[in-house]
Amino acid sequence: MTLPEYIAVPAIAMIVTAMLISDEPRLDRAAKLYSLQSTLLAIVFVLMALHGDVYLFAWAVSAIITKTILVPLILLRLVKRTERHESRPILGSTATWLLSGVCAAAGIALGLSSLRGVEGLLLGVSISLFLIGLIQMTVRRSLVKQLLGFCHFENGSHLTLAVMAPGLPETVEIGIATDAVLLILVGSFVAHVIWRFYRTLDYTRLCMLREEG
Amino acid sequence: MYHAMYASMLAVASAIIATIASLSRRLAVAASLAGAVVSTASSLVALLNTDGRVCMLLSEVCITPLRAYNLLLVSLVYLLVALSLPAFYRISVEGEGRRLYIPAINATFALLLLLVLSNNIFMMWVLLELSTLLTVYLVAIRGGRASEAAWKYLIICGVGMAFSLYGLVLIYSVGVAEGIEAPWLLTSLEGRLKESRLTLLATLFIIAGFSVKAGLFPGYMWLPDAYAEAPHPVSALLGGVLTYMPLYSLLLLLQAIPCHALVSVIVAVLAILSILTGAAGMLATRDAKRLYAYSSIEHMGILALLLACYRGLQGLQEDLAGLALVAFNLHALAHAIAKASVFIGVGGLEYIFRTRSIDEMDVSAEKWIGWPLFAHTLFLAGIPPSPLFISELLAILVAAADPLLLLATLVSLFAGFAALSLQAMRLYAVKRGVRAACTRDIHAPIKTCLILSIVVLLAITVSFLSGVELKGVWGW
Repeated sequence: MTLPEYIAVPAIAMIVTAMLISDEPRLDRAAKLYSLQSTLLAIVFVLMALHGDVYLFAWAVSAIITKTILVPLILLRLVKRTERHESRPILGSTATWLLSGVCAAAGIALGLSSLRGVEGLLLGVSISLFLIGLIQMTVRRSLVKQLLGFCHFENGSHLTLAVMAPGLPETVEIGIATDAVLLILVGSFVAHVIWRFYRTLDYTRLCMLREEG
Repeated sequence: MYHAMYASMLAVASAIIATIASLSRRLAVAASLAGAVVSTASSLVALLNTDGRVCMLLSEVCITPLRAYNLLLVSLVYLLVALSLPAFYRISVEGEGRRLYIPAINATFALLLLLVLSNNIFMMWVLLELSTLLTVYLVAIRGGRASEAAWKYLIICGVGMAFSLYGLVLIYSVGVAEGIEAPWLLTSLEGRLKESRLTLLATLFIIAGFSVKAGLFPGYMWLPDAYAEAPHPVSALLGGVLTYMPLYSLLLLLQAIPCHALVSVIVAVLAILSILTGAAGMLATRDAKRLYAYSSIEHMGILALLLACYRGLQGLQEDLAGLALVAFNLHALAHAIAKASVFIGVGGLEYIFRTRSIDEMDVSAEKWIGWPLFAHTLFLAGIPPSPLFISELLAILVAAADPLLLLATLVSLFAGFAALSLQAMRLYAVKRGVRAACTRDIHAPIKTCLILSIVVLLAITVSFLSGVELKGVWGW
């Protein structure tokens, strides 16, 4: 499969949205930015499908339903019932952008060293999303931001599968997509229970677990 | 042979039906019990009729002696948990009255039973991940501190599983590059992949992910909190079977893909560190549930050590490798039953004394729960006639292949034994002035679980020593 270079545009835009999500203090806006990121993922799948892997049309539809619509709806519902603004993050805005930039550069370099051409770039984007998701889960205090970090993992994994695992049975893709939605659903449930008890979604204030005796 | 396949599918189907039936509150407990009984009986039939490999549904599911054995393992834990539900459901701690509580327990067992049979590396991952998510929900259900424990569980295991997915994708892509047909199936990969840097990298990613889920060092931090704060049947599920399943999946994967010598060394090191971490944790805690949670870390370490020896010695000393596999299977089954029972028993004691503190429970006064629990603790410590004594002895024999490994194994096993024994003496010491806070009778179901599991554990020891053999699974 020879992919055209313009696929790089929505792929790189996914990294930009990941960085914007990391820095966005309003959690409802962050959820909507994730919806945009997932739409870009679906566009990448469609463009790949148009150049050989026709089964990726189904992946694009699945991404729209699960990641563009369902997951953001679940997160927006959680934000509406809890808090709309993130607590002050551990790292400031500039540091977050710098760190995300380093992750993006490292991811793309790794991808291009593993595979050639546009496939290498797509693999690099997926690794970048993975790394940015990991950073976001570490330096952002809000449980919603941690869930969004997971969402970056999911999108990164999905892109990796599309690039490196052609010809996977459809059942596998359905399983992985279902898992993505269920993870956010369960995460939202737990976050909501935490909110009911602690009245905060700041994970640095969750410190009730102590050894007894 | 197809009898074994049909019986195993019946085991899965019974758990699925139990899940649906238990959505009705009136039928929840009875449906769980019925599902568990049918599942156990079907697994036994599958085990007795299996010989060689049979696959179905485009080779997506397979039955072999090893898989049938593990099907029975999961079913027995399912049976123990289902037997305990009448006691704990009656108590009805906040959150456990939720409509989805018992269906989620049944659904988790259904997923795990399917995982045992799955031949698709990605579906194994999906089933493990889904069972993790269900148990996160079950841990969080009590609210408060439990929700904090559930969040830690979700984040740490979620990251781990993401790493393992990358590893599986790498394995798949190597399979495609080497022209293997259907490289998502374990049976297609067996003996066909060549050793390379990519397969090494893939294996390391998979081990990194699955070791976190199994509660091995250094990714064990979620385990003590999740085990301690979960409702008691859920602790039994976690301790009995859920943390074992990643090691079972790793066993199947390492049988199919090339295993570099470095991988065995890394797993052995993680294993020894896990055993020592478990021992240290057991000594440091005063919480009865955390005590047995750290004991689980120790025992997962022992299983990982046996797995490392099994794959590391293959091709070099086949007899010892076979012995390691036998010890692995024996340890897995005995630990699953003993640990699930222990958490059920500790749950009963927590209800009676309204505390989990070791110093505030007069366990010896509660003879119907205390004494069987004491017997289980001795079994977990590896004291004869425990099957764990046999498996740990075999582990020492296998470790003797390398002097350094032998020394590390002896030191770590002794540390684990000493830690649990010391804490057990503290837990079971007579404490004057401590009274039971609640006299409501919950003894019958819990007593049934504890005594049944003692009988099963003794039966395992007797059958192993008397030479019962299951080809490729256990037997001298």
